[in-house]
Amino acid sequence: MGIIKKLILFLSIVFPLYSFSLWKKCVDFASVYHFSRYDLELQLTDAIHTDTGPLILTRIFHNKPVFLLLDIFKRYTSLLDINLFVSILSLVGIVGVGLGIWYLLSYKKSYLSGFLILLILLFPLVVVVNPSLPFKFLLPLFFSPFFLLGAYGHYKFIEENRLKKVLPIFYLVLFILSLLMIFAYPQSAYTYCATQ
Amino acid sequence: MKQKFLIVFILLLSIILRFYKLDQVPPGLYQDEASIALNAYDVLKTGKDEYGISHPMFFKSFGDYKLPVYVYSTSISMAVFGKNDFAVRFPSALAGVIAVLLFYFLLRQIFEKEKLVAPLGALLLATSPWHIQFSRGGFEANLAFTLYLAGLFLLMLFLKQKKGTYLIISYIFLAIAVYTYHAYKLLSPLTVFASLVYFYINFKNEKNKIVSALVVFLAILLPIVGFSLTQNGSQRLVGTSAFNELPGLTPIQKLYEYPALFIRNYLSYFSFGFLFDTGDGIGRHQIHNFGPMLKWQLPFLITGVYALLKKKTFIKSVVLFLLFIVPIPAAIAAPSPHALRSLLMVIPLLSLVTLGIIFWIEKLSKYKVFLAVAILAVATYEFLFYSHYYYVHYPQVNALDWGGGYEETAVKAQALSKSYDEVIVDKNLKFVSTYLDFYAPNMKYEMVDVTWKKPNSWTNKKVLYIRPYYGQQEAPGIIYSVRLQNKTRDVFSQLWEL
Repeated sequence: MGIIKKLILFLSIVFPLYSFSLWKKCVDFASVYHFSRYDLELQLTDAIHTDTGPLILTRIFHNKPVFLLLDIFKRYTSLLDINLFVSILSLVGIVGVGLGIWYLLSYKKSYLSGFLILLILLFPLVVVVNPSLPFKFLLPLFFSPFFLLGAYGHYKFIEENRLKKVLPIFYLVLFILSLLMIFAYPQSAYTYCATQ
Repeated sequence: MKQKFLIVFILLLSIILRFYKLDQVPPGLYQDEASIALNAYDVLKTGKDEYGISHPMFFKSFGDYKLPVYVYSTSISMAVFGKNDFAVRFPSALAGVIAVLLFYFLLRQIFEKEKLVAPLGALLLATSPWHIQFSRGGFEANLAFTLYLAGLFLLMLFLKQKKGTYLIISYIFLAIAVYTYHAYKLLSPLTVFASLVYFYINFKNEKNKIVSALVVFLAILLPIVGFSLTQNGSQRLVGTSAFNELPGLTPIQKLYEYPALFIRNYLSYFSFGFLFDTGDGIGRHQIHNFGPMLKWQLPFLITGVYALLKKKTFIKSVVLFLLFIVPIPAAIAAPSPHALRSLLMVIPLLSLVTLGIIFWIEKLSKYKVFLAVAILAVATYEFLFYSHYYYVHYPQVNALDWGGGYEETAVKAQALSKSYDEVIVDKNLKFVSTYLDFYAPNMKYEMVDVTWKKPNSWTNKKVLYIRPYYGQQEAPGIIYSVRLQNKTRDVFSQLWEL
């Protein structure tokens, strides 16, 4: 790998790390990402309150198991929000994660890759159902798999050199766009976390 | 033969889902629908809009100008069905059904060798909350969506059969979409441009046909291009620009703030929260706790991306082109994400879901029956859950998003006004004048501020005073309270006798 490619790879790792460092004042993910039994009961009460018609339909559609699944799904998909990931990993990191998933799936032993990807996709559930875990431990736990996947994705992409002479231009544009996001939203983390 | 029966079934299903109780759910016309209705009826009866302009190409509305296609479609609908809510929504509902059929044919063109893709994709669109929501309201965007889809389908036909007529008609549909909804002012030209790039590389022998079609496209667009460059024509862009959220920036700040805001808005259209859970938060655009897409589709959407990337270049290009260009005009506007402006995304997203389902059925072919039954069971439950919320909860919870109360206020006022000398309307009942002009066209009234008091010179006059609800449940003078259809029957407006 030439010097330029090594520099590109180095910057591809620095950007996510810098973006992650902007979360230092956070003490927890915002409450919307954590499951709350009280909130679930309120949702169920509200839904039943506006329901009319046969009781059997109310029971079929408005019950604790269904609402529990929907609630966890809501918080889980909120954590897979792309702007949240841009805040933690930067645009460079997101592109890396996409590349990483692609290369993992390209391996012939796709069951292992599939298992790894499943593990990564299940990590946000840890945030949803375990709010009592210390945030200083939770955030790196959440961030690390995606960071590693992103670094791997960039490494494989740069090594493969599909874009050839366009590769530096591609990464230059990516770095500039990432910088723009960081300059424009230096405190974007506070949209997604609590600072007190 | 089996596919024909299947598509007939899917079309019948889409007709039921789009036309059942169309005039009742959603409850009442919202202000844009009412404005369209008023202009459509005026044009039908007198040939002029509410401002007296004869057969206008652009209709002045609340702070901007409405495009003509949906208004004139509603005029035709009113000529057939009469002056009512059903006629206002009929063009959109019909466009919704036609879109399902067009999507089926489009998928057949793109995925020629995979027989399951087209009917499965059509079924997903027929039962898509995103598409149903906007098919059941007088949304110009939904009609534009169908016109664009027609243009895209004919473009695919031209690519396969090289008949010049297909290309000309395709470009005509794409041009008419521009006159139907603002987002297509960017989407249609981008699509034409992309097709020209493709033709330049692959269709050099068809120059005459391509040039003819391009000339027709540009000729149709001339009036709207000219209008968009005027102050009136650019009001919409200025009024909805996302960059209005960043006032008072220096030129240097604009250099990084504007692109950053655009990127943030653009990425929000790919957020799982937006797609599967909360939508864009606007009450008219989806049901509470439901996103534009059904939750069971998430894993198939993810798998579908992988399945697509394994496909041939042409198929990949079409789906990815749509997926990545649709959010562009939507990201320039506020708020973002916005389910209506990005409606066209439903095409590539459902294509991906379809590919994802087929991927798993082929991958686990030993268990394909079990898998198909499992998917069907979960999908059916969630769709019935959505339908329950749509027909039972939504009219109560979101009545105000749909102008709940305005129609009854206008109709009741018209009925009572014959016994009164003057009719006065509080301006705080926003947009009420449009509803009064549509539902009570023969009633003369005056709009006043909330501080208005009955003048001494009117001592001997009986006055009907229409006001929003200011907290007085009962008081001498209140002759009628208009109540919403929600569980608590909240008061929307009151008619007073002075």
